[in-house]
This record gives sequence, structure tokens and C-alpha cells, in this order.
Amino acid sequence: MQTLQYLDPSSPNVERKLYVPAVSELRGKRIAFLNNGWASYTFIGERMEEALRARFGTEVMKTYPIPTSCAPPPGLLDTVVAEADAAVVGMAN
Amino acid sequence: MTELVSRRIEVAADARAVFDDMYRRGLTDGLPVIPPTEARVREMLVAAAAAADDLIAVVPPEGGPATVEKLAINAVMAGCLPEYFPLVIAAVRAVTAARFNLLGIQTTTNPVAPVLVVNGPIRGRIGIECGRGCMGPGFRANATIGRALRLILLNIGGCPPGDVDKAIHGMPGKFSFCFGELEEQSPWPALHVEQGCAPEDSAVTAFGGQGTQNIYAAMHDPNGIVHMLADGMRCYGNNGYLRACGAPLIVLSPGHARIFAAAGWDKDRIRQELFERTRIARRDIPTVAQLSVPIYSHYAADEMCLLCRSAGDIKIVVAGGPEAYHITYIPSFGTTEPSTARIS
Repeated sequence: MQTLQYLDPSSPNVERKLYVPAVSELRGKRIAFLNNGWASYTFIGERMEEALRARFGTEVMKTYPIPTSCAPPPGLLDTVVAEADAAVVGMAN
Repeated sequence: MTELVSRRIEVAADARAVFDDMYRRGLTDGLPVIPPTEARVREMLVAAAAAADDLIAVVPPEGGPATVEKLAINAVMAGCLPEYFPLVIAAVRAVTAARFNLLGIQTTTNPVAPVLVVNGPIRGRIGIECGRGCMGPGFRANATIGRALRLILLNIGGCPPGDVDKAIHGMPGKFSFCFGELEEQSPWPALHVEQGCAPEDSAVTAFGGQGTQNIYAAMHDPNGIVHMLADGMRCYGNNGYLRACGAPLIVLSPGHARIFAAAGWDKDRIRQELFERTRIARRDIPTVAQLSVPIYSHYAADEMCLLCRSAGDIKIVVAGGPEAYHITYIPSFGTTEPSTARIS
């Protein structure tokens, strides 16, 4: 049987970096919620907030709105880094 | 000559077997492809005078590195001729510019696709169709360049439909969507000039478009034409109204362009008329809660909802057959801006 070789068009596995170290525990930590404007995220986010407080003892939780389907406004991520230890990010709908 | 580093996959030397194998691996758009052999890929590299390992962009959502080699492989698969390849590279530069919001476009439930508009001398050199039927089917350069970009978004961006591309219905334009502006029959500055290029430059501009809406406006009165066109655009279910942003694209036939020009209307006048006539009072849109939060959700009843931020955001190009019959309106994804790249 005659064969041919073709070249793989897909990208090689991308080296993924962990840009932010994970928090070791949640008790007493400040949690940011980045709400991307979808009702489904609001629903999940509110329940996560309840669960984090009740089960893990997180203290301060603050929601930051980002426009639907958009990147966060300039400076917002810097604010989140300054004000929170960890973040929950709404990615889509 | 640069070594090609991509994995080699061996299959039976048969067109059907190659397609079956690539389809099974999730490497196609569902249509047969040209086998990307090393010889064919090297022809692309020669045409672009580029090194295989040059990094052109990083393609979301996977963050796949779009090296010239990977782009060339996908261009071969799409059926591109080597002389098309510099345009494919430019298209990748255009869609990966931050303003285009490719991450959102790749992963949204919306049926948006990159719409490529080609300007400048390259149109004639490689046979980009700008006239009748330019959006397809039937023209190799248009069809395969648009398709190459789609394969790149799938294979390098890591965005298979269903799993990562969450478009509810998809859209035929996601296979390929590329045409040229018929600059020679336009009375106005070409799109790429409005986007900052010189008239003699070759360039490609990418729009995040939701498909095509045809508007039959067979009349000779400019006021009647914009009235009918604006009514077709005034659809508050389009994403533009959600955030009052985006770049609605109007494709006028040369016939309609002549009618406007003869009456002394320039693009700015058309844009302004359309912007004003597409405003919708808040009271005309349902006030029930939506799953996302539109910008107009807290507007007063008589406050006006906008299709885009300003009249200048509406883009107008001339293309297609000569009769002043049909206008194509390409609604915008909204959270995207047109992005232009020069073709080297």
C-alpha cells in the first residue's frame, strides 16, 4: 500500500503557566467575584458566596462587574489583585 | 531552509483515506481537505518569504502559537494557492489584534464569524472577487482564504464546535467569509484608507459579523434607500443594541453607490442617516428581565437605544453586481471592532 505523510495542523500542547499562586486555605480570605453580566453567573455566584462563607469561613466578598462578553475594563484586575486574595471569574454564559 | 517541526502522520495515499483520517482526528471543518504534505507546505513558505518558526500570533482560546509553519499547513488544507498565503498571514494578524476580541468571538453562543474584506492591488494579483457573487460560492481565492482562517481558528485556537465554540446554531459564514471591495466602482475612499492605510497598500480588514441580512431596495431615491436599509438594521435582537457598540457593515452595490454619489451623499451622510434612523425608544423593547444585562435595561421609556456607539462606527464598502437592487447588511457581534492588517 502506498502511503503519504501529512503535517499536523494543530498547535502543540501549550505550556501553561500558573500566573497566580493558589491560596492554601480560604478561612479569613478576601474573595473577589468578577460578574460578567450574565444572569446565570449571578445565580451561581450568589450561591458560591453563601457556600464559601458557610463552609470555608471566607470573610470579605466583593463583586466587580465586567461588561458582558468583554475583557475587564483597564485597571480593574489591578484593583482586584490589591483588594482580594482569590477570585471567582465568570467566563461566559 | 528551516526545519518543519510538526508531527508527521502517515496514512494511505488516497484522498478519501486522508480526509477520513483528518476528520476522525478533529482537524477539519467537515469538508474534504488538501493533504498538507511537506512539499506543499514549503511552497507556502517560499511564497511568503517567511521562516517556518516565525511566530505571527497566539490564537485564543487555547493560546496556540500561530507559527508560519502551522499557518501554512492550514492554508494548504483549505486549498489556498501559495500566492494567497501572505493574505492569510495578514488575516491572522488582524483577527488576533486585541480590538477584535477573538476570544469572545471564538467561544460565544452567538453565530459570529470573522468577515474578511480585502483591499488594494493584491485583489487583482491573486483573483479576489469583488463583483457579482463575491461572497460566494465559486471563487477560489475568496473561498479558500476565508476557509484557511477558519481552519487556523479551529486547529491552532483549539476551538471545536460544541465543546469550546458554543455557537447555538453556528452559521454558514463560519466555513468561510471573505470578499474584496470593488474600489474601482466606488465613488468614495476605500475601506482600508478609512482604516489608516495608503490607497496603494494591500490590506485585509476583519469584522465580527453575525451573517448577512439582505435588503431589497430597488429604488433611485437616496432617502428611500436609507429608510428601507435602516428599517432592516433596526433589529434590537442584534448584539449591537445590547451594549451600543460594534461595527455594523453595509455592503452597497455599485449601483446604489452611484445613486448616493449622484445625489451628493458621501459615506458620512449615509452613516449619519442610518445612525439616527436605527435608534429605538426603550419602550419599544420588552422590559422583562433578560439573561444578560443590556446597557439599556435601566433607560427611561423615551430614552433611545443605539445600534452602535457613533455614526462613524458604521462601515460602508462597495462590492457585488452592478444593479441597484440588493444591499447586504452584516450585523456586528457588538463587542468587537474592525481590525485592519497590511499585507506584506
